[in-house]
Amino acid sequence: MNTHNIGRRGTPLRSFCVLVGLWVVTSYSVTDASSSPEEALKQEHLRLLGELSASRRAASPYLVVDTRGNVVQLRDRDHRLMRTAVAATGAARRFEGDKKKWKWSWRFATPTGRFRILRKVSDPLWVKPDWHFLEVGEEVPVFAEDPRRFQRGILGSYALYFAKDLMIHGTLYEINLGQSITHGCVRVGAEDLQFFYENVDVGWPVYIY
Amino acid sequence: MARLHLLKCLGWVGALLVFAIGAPTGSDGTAQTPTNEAHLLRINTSLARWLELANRDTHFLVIDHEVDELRLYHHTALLRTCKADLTTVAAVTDSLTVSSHLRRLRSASPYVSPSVGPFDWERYLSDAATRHSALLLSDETLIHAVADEHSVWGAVAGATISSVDLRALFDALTDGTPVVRLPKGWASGDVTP
Repeated sequence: MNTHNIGRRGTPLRSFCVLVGLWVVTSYSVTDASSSPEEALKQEHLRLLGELSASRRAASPYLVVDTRGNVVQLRDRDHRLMRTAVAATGAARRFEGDKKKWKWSWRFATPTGRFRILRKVSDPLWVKPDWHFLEVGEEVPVFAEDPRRFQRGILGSYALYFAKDLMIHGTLYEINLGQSITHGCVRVGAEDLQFFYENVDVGWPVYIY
Repeated sequence: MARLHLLKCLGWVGALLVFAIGAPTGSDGTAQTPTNEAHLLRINTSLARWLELANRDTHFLVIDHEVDELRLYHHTALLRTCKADLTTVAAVTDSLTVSSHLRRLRSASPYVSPSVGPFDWERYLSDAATRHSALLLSDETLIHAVADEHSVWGAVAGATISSVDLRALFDALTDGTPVVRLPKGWASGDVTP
């Protein structure tokens, strides 16, 4: 009876001690467990920031063409603006030749997406496409070598090709810059064109939106 | 017997009190709040998505709550920066896309059919955005032009940008374009939500 009583008297104290012991153990483990995820998240955050900072730097300077605002920008590898030029871009209109005679149709829009400067040309030669003859009401030359297809001076002093038939070139009518009126090419003023010709290298990306 | 029970109960209560008072603290001594971790996790998720999109050959939009900006990217190239008022934009969602292009505010009257007819010029003939257009994201966040006396979106919560920026983004972003939303503190690591 006495032993039983002693045992019974020891129960509250024992339970208290057991719980305190449990708390100490749990507290340490919980503290470790709770700091670990946060520390891991912070480490992950730093890693992501570092990776982002490294990947955010562009491989080369690049051109951006805003077809809505009719603006061309040159940005450096850290995305800083180096030059802004007022431009004229595609009119986004559809043009069809005489349906009895010509079955072609064109949509004069500047394409959007990622391109790159393919080549730079000084004193470019304009090879007139079929739609030009249809627009001005002239007979379309049958042969590609027909001398009526070639004209110099109309594209300005330089041309920077970003697709097979599409380029950044100059214009005789700078008053039309800032408008969506071209057949798909990007026209800029003479000073801006010279700057781009001298400072943009072949291979640099051209982003059009 | 009753005294023994009372003592036992007091022992348990005391231990529980000690347990409760000594709640675990962080390594810096501050109280651990799950919101900090959740916020940091959200930041990391957004940054990881940004990294993933920066390696794709596609347009994407970044909504930056840190500097109140909308930025249009293609790959790693920055195409456009738009100052924005993001004060009424709701909580951050992890995976966002552009859901639809709204030409103008439409009545939500239950007596009006929401479908458009074949001669709806706004849908079939209009090509570009007007200042009354808006972009709807998949979490129902609206991007519209700055509210003025002519704006139909004045009373609607959402990100407001200039009408010039809205027109550019409206045309540049197609439905399904990915959107990354960066919470405040993403760059500094300040995890206070």
